[in-house]
Amino acid sequence: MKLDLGSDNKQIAETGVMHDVSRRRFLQFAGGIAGAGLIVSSCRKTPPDTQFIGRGDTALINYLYLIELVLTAFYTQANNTPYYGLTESELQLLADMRDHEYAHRELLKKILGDTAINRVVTNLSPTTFADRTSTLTNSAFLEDLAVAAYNGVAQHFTDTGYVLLVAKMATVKARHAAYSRDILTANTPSDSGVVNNMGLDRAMSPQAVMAALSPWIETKLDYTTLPG
Amino acid sequence: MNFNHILQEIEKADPEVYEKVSGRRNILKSFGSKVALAALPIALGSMFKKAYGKTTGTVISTLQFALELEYLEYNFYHTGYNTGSNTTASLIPANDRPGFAIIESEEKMHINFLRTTIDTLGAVPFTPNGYTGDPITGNPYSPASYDFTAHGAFTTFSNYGSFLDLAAALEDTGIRAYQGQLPNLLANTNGVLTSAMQIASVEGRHASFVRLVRRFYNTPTFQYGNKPWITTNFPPSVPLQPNYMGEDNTVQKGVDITSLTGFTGYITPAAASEAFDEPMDEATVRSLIASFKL
Repeated sequence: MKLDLGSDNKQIAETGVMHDVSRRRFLQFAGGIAGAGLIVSSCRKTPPDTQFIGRGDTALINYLYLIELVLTAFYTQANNTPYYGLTESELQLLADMRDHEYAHRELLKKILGDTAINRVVTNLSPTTFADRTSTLTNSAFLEDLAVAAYNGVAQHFTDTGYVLLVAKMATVKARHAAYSRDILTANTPSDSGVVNNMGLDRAMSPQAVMAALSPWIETKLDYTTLPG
Repeated sequence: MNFNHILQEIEKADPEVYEKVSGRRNILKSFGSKVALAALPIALGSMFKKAYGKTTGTVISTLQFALELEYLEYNFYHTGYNTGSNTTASLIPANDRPGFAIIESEEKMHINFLRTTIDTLGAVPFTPNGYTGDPITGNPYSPASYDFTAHGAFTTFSNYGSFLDLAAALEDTGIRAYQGQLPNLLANTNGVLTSAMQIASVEGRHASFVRLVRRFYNTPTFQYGNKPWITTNFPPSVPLQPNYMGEDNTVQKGVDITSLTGFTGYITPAAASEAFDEPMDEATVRSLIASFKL
């Protein structure tokens, strides 16, 4: 039996006229009436080795938590086996970025409580940590992606109290991204790949971010509940 | 279809809904048996327009405020970039000019984006005092509108260090201002919530760039305390301290970040403050930029 638990989320996302929590929740409800059958039963078949990230805001927070799991693993390794040619300034700021990611990860974990996904195995093989270019390129890639993820997820929260929280974190990710880009290639806090001709950073859908993040996560995850 | 049930659900979602329309009784009266089932969606639509439609005014005034800040930033960078540029001694040294050129062009894009969005929402975009150009298509450079020395208090365009100090403060404050305005944009009308976040993160990139330049400016190695992120409420210079009040907050969503475990022991207050930028309300932001406006 194929259950599409993402459909009610999609329904909301495509409505495009929601105005706040209340309207969103109303539309969720109204969508159920209009779609007559979009609201599905709670039974779900998840293979035993696959982790389900949850529904609604829980799924969204778990999604950000996943990103932070990758980032903390990345910077822990980058600090433990720093690249050749690391300057004193770079050493300090590399440790700072690790510590910021820990703060983000542990806060999200605390918020999630026992709904946090666990036993997630990350895969850092895209990076050669002894190599400066590889480390900084991947740091910039992950931070740029995190910015796009945080910017793209805010609109989906039912509890809008999370919007400001993710915004506070998003601009720090942007600081990280620009820093890694800039020490890799001077005078490039951004380029046309991440900031468009309207001066807007990227905002990516959770599904698009998960696709980009997949090489970094080994654990099988069921994230069909995330907005597309 | 049980209409009462729908009303109950709305009520649950938004307890104040009846203050926004005209009382439950009136809704029931207007939606009573007289309303044909086919007309129900239209009736519901008009009810919600009444309840939530007026937020457009707040959205527009919020975007106008953002536009005002973008004008200020663009004029600051445009003036700085062109100070002394036709002589051998430009304010911004050759090594840093490409980065500042990117920042200036992105601030201009923000102006254009906000102008267009405000125009689309049916309002006339903000223009600074003394601006004479077209509010939507005019050149946003408006030297008659600003005094970035704050009447001689800062050596903004005669000393690169001062220019960097103020640049960092304007970017950091810009980020805080956007975050302070997000509660007005939660409805995401025309995608403005997402757009505001997309702009704020570009300001985050700018702040990081400026701060990194400052870190290495005029010192043999680097200034240990000056980082691309804001540490506690540490300002670039003493007169800019008011721009950083509240940045040392370490409590997020009721959780004290310093009570959480980091890589080594508890997360330090410094890291806890650096990891989150903090919102600032409009009145405070306005008071901070007032001395630069003419």
